[in-house]
Amino acid sequence: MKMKYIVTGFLLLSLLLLKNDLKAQTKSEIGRHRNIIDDGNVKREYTEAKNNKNEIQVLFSGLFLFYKTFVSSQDQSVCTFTPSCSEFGILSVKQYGMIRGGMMTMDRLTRCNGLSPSNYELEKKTMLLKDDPREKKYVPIVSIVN
Amino acid sequence: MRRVLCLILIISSVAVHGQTIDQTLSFANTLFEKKEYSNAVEVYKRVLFFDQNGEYGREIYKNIADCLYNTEKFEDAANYYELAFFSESSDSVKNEINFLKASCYLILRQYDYAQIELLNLTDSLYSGQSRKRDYYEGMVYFAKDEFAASEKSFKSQVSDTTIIHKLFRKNDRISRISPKKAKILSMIIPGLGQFYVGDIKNGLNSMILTGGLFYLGIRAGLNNSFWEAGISTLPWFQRYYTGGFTKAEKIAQTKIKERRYKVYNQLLDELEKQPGSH
Repeated sequence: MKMKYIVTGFLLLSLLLLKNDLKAQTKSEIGRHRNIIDDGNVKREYTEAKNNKNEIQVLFSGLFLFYKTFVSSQDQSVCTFTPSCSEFGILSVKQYGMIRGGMMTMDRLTRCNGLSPSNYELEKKTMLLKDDPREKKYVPIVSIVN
Repeated sequence: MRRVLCLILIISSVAVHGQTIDQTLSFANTLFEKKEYSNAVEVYKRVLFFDQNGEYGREIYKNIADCLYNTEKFEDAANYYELAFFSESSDSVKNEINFLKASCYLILRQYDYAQIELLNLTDSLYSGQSRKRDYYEGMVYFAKDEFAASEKSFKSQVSDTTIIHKLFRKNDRISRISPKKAKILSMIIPGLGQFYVGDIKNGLNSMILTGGLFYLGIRAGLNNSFWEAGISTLPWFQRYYTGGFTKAEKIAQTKIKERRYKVYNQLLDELEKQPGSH
């Protein structure tokens, strides 16, 4: 009889002790740990093709997006510059217009060979050469021949 | 007039005195209770700065860490939890601090450090802590790709293990995706590797692009000469062919991550559904 009381008492005590053990984690605690692993999302938004001011810019932005989606997406990263040649193209057309921007893009394409890295600043994060049409150049880009 | 000014200066020097360290601490505690964490942390740091004898540190390290945790400065929070851990004597509180440190390291994606914190837990856990240990272990093992151990930990937290079991079988199927296989398949037929991992858009894209360039090369070869075709189209073909199979491998790796992330969040959804989760 005494044993029965001891067992009942022990079980009640265990239940009391385990009460908190059965408590689940709070939603906010779980929510905080939802992004602890990589979601694999590598999609890039092309801001260069946004905020078009005229039809020419819309047309070139469309061409740029088509190239980026269907052609460049199948290629390895081969450009030696940052921003890349296609990005340079759309940025220069937007800033300087179709003729000057187009000429600047042609010039850039001829320079995209990595043969004269000493003429450019290196972006350490990507290890690519910096050449941005939005930045004013005070020194013309020419090969230094001694 | 000079005498009056001197009198004012003497009186004000007696009447005006700085805030004591206890008053500052009390103010910091009020801010903490009001959940004004970013302000509270600054005031707590002021207390630490003027605490020359190191009397207040033990009392406030955990609060500083909590403030930093709630303002999402997890790296700093982990450092203050470390200080709080060594100035605490109660095992129960030490365990709670370990859980919070593990949480910081998990959010910072430093899984090994998080695991070390879980190994530092005392053998006899206090009420609620064994379930918490299972929760953290489940996440750490999953993040470290130790899925069998993770499954065991997740299952111990739910009453009905059927869904958890199904989710881990789904995860096993994800593990069977091979980025190398995707690469080889795309080497054999461009786009095939992308199809294998379920990326139809990129598969078709690669197939059409390389197929188009191949057709162009053959046509140029038949119409002119294969030497000319080689010069004009082979570099382009080579560029998109190699790009295609390199991308196939990367796409497979991305798909694995995407699907695993989805399964992981479905596992957490199951934990949220458990009674007591609020």
